[in-house]
Amino acid sequence: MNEYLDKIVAKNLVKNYELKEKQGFFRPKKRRTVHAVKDISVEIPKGKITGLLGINGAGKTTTIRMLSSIIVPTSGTLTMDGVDAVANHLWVKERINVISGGERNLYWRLTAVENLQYFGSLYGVSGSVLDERIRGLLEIVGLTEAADTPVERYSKGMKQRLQIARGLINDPEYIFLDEPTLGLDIVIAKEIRALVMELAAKHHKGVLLTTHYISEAEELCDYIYVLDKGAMIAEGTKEDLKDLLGYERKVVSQIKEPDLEETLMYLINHSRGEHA
Amino acid sequence: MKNILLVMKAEIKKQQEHNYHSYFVYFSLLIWPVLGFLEVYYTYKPFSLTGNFIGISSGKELLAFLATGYMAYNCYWSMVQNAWSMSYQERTGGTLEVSFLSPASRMAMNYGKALGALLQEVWMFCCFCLFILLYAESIRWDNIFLLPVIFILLLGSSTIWGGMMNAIFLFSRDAEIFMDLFDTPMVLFSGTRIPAACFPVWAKVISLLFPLTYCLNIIRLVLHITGDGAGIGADLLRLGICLLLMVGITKVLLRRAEANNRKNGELQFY
Amino acid sequence: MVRVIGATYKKNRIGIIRAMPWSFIVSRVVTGVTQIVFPFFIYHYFLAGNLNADFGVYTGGADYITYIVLGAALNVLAVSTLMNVGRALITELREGTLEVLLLSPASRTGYFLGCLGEQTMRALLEFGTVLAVGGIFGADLRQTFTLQFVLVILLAILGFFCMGLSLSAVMLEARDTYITQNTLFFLMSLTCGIAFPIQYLPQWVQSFAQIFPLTPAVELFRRVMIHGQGIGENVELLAQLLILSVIYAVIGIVWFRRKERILIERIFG
Repeated sequence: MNEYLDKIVAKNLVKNYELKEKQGFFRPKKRRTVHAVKDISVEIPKGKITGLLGINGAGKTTTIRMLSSIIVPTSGTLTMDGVDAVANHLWVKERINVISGGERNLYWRLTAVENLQYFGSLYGVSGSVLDERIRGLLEIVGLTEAADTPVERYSKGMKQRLQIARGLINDPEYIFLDEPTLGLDIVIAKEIRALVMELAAKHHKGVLLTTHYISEAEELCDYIYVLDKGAMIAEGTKEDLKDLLGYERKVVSQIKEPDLEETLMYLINHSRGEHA
Repeated sequence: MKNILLVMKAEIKKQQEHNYHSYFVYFSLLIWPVLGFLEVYYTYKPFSLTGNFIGISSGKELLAFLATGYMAYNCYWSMVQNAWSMSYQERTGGTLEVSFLSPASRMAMNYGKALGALLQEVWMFCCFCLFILLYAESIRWDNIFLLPVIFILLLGSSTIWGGMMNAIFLFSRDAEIFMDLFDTPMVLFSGTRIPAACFPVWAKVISLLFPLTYCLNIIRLVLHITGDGAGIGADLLRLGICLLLMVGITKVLLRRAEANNRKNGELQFY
Repeated sequence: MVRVIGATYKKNRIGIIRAMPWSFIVSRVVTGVTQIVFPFFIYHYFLAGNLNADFGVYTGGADYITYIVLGAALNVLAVSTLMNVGRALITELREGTLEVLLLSPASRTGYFLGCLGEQTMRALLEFGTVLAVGGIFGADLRQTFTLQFVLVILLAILGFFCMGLSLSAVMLEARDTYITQNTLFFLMSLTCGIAFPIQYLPQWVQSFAQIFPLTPAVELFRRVMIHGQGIGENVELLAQLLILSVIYAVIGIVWFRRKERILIERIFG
């Protein structure tokens, strides 16, 4: 039992989507099954940053949506601190939150404070506790001065930072970050990375991070899973992953130590059976 | 319970903050309904109202009849419209999915949305209708105590109606056509512009499907505007049954919408 | 210019076929049918044909249902034409293709005529649907396929098209379609004599209604359809319709030219 405590454990998760395709007005709809995620197993321990790496369309978003109990897996098991997360999804939802990159998921006509008040209330936080928490969060993400400005006047980076505040409003034990630095300039991206690091190290939260910026994964993640075409093709610490390649590299006797980007490309190509 | 109230309060507050900014609302919430009201009033002009037609025998009685009809209809219809526009905005904005990511009570979120929209959207036109009712002498000093009763009835029943609309629109992404098809039958058969009592039997049967029918019957009975309806007790009972049924349907729909989404991920919409 | 008309026709046609604006079409037909159904219910079920004497005087003794159906159908034609022409430019603006159009030397009139040609078939289809529904409700439509009928409809489309040019400029100026078009349509169906003779309205409203081409058009349409009159017998209505068309066309074109200069400067600015 103990091996399930203080972490989210996913075993053999599979997600298939049934697509119905219209074929004109009167012909029956054609059904097609899309295998979005094929048999993956992941662990997200508290206090660590777990990375999920892959190119666009690799199945990262579907995986994160399953792990955060937004969607149910077609098969496989998912537990959080030993509790069945599929059956008890509302219990899970109290203890997690999801932050995705981009500018969505906020009410643009509302101010930062109004947004946070609304989302806080959905988690049953109210009164002075909520006010205090909002003040603290705005401080952390550096939006104190823009607290009463409608979000539509925010820059991209400010919206992203407010998203992070929104994701922390229920003081979650586990945080899912879906490409949190997508499209941001290097300065802001760096600030956000520092914040993510702090969440795991200082506040002992379990963090799952998806990204396709290799350097980001290299800098932050304690453990990395590599996804391609819905399947897990490699996992390990970044040293493990490099070793994997390093071993083969030695055969062709290259001197330069491979960086993670090369490693990733190699892994993807290798799993697809392309050795060019 | 405390959390349910908290969520409802948050939804109402959010609706107000969300809609506050645009001057558009004066057109869609006041000017258009008033123009529509006048058009219907003038459509009656070619007819002579001499002779008692189901309790309407003068221009003022007709005005009172139309004002009550329009006021109640406006409440119900604004619920349909709001359910459509908010479901679209929240879907494309990604906020719908985020709200479903929280453990908040789905019913509370749903009814909070409806009540918030209602308070926000109907007050201007209701003021206009009240003015007409005062002018038509349907509301006088001696029966002004009925106003709060009417408002509670209207608010309560349209919120429950709106909750059902919100739940329905969780299933479908664009239902503009559905809205068009819904609009005319509801106006016609629930007796907002023409007394349902004069309908042929088939039309009366259809009118029983709309809770707005009972709500209007009660309001008009209380204000002594027309004599139709089954009597206040029977209409209250029917409205009550309708409302309970709608709450039940809403609950089932919400559960199914969420289960559906958990299977297919349909609440997000890129 | 012919080529511009052809190209615009073709482009809009393809766009329409790919993504038919069903919601607009259904909405307009439903509006038209609604405008028939309500008076029908009042007339047949509620007030049992109890028309007052004024109605006979104002309409020359017209049959009520026929009167209503003709109004509702022509209103749909007006709304459809105004929407299709009026929204053409702002749709291009929203999709980002307006700049391309402005930078080309293509004839602007040709562009609008292309829009007109492409939309007329759809508008007539909606008009015909409402008219046919009206026939089912008992309207007398025996005059439908006469030369006079065709001429009136062509004149009406001309009037609505010219007004559409002005509307297009207004929409471009205000960068809005929703508020502008709905306010206009509510005003038109209240004041132009669609569901009741305008003589019932206050005098100043009647005068105001004369600025809409729909007012003379619907009157002319009813005279032809109900009383079998010819256009030649109604020179004053014909003149009003033509004058309004010229005025709206000139306003629309001048306004658009000015707007065009500003927009082009902005492209390069």
